[in-house]
Amino acid sequence: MAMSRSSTNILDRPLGRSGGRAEGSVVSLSAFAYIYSELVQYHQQRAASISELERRLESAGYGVGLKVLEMTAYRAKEVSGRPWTIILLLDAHCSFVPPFSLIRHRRRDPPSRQTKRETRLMSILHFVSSSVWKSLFGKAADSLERSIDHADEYMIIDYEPIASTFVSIPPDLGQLSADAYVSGIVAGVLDGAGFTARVTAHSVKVEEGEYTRQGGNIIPGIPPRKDKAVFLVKFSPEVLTRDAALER
Amino acid sequence: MSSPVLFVIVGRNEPLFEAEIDTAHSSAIDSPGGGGGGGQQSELSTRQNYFVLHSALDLVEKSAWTTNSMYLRVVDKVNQQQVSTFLTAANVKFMLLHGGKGEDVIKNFFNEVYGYYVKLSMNPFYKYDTPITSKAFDARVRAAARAYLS
Repeated sequence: MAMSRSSTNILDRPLGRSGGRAEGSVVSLSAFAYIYSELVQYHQQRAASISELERRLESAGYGVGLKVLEMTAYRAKEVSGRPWTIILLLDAHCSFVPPFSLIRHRRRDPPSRQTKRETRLMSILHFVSSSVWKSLFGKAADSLERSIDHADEYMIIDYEPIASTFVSIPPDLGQLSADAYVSGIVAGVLDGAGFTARVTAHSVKVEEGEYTRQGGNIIPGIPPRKDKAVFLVKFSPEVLTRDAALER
Repeated sequence: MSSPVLFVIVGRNEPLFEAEIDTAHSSAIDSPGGGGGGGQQSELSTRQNYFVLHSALDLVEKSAWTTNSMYLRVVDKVNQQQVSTFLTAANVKFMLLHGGKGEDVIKNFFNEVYGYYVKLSMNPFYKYDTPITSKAFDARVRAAARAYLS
């Protein structure tokens, strides 16, 4: 079948670029949905509780996160570094946990050709919610918010999470979020970059009028989602200590 | 003047890959696992090389968070020897011990090896932070060293 290319060593193959959606670099949605549902079912049969199932999905995503981190950083070098300005705004609509503040990001400088690591907390979060999200899902995350009460907590929000789109949660698994796999990826990216964090996925009901899909849909022909995926990122204390020290 | 260089990839807890490359000879004198030169003299200097290189790791940890560039330039100098370092996005350390080569030359070498490393890590059977056993990777790193550092 597709064995004709197997004689080429992986080191001789091109890595592809982030902007270009070259043939073969995009997996068809049906193939992904099929294999992801198999993955969820596999773990569901072997897990005794909801939390164990989520943990299994998270650890499946963790290794992917480490790889995605290296790959996205490598590709970003070819296209551009992304410097951002940060504007903090209060968000009146936010209903999740205590008030969160909305962080807008905007491109500032012309693209640079430097290889870059993320060493600051805000820049790694923007890297995850923009670059990583784009390379995985073809779009940036819908918003990135910061907890006002807890300085170590951030939320990444996606109104159309692909992982859970085709997974219907049976009533007896009430609290389960099928996006746990993605939260594992996020944890892998952050941990690899040296920002150890606990990342959990939550399905939260979308309020009336909170979100309207603009322009073209990611997935045509799918009715609007009733819930959004909220990825709660809680950094470990030493990460915040280090970031505070770098501030000076 | 070309002198042997020592290239090591260090993960979180252990070295993942080592290559001692004699850039003076373009042929296959250097075999995997160390330099070809015999005698006690080279044995001794090899050990010293490892010592210098690994003692530079502390300095790398120190400077890792002060810059957001991947290439950290020369982090340590001992006598004639210099240690240059490159950090990948996931903080895997590329360390090169050399006798004073140009900054840009080393940067190009590191960038090429970084490309190979990223491709290698895309292999689903390669787990992050485990020793690299790929023969193809070894061969390409040695070829890159000869191309850039001789």
